[in-house]
Amino acid sequence: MLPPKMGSSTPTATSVMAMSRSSCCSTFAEPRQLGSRARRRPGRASTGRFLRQRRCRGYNRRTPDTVEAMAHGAIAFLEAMSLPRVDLLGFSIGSFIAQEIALIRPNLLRRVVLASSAPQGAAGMHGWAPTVIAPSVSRRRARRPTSACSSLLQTRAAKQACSHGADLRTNSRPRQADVVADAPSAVRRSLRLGHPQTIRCSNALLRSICRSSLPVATVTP
Amino acid sequence: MILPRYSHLLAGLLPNARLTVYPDSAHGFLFQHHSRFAVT
Repeated sequence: MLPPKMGSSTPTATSVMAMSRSSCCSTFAEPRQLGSRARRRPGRASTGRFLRQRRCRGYNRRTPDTVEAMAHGAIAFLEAMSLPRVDLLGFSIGSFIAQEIALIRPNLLRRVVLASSAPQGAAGMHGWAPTVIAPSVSRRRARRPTSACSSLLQTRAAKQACSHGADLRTNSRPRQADVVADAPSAVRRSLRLGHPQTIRCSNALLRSICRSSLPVATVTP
Repeated sequence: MILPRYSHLLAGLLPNARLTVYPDSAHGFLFQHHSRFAVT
């Protein structure tokens, strides 16, 4: 969904954020906006490193447990980055956060894209839809390494394209993360691990998703 | 995961919203149809 205007449509808002899962998660901004630390380390995904620090150290290992608190965290992040106006892509729980940001600070946003989203309090929204979670649980019991991808992606080709990243992720993550882990997390992990093949893949993904000039375009295999 | 009917509901509640539904895909539709998602 693309509400064309959140405030005035000045062309100065060029930053794009992609958010998913709990806390602030994956944020993609231009390298010059990430400060001197990121500039000293061009190439390998300065964005991923930056946000891992914020999630683990900035919050003292505690993550917010309400959407509103997550939105305030994201707003604080944007202010700390001196980003007065952004185009925001919110995915899954990130789309809830994006909606909350739009309510709290509408002038912060120029355009909002909500992917896999829902309005707060919609009938039947609490808990997991049985038709969705049942196949995912049964796959996990079968101990297939691609269980997380299988529940996210529908076609065989898409699952195969994602499965390599899922294998990497499950190697050193807590088991309970497997069910809720999503494709962006696989991308972030592969960026951290620096696997050439997967980084190339995520470059294409992130570039095509975010369209504007991003630091991922500079990631080298 | 989030069912498509909630996206329809949300699109009806938001002013000036535009809803795009992608075929044969699930929660990760934007990674499955990334090219189409980017140009939409």
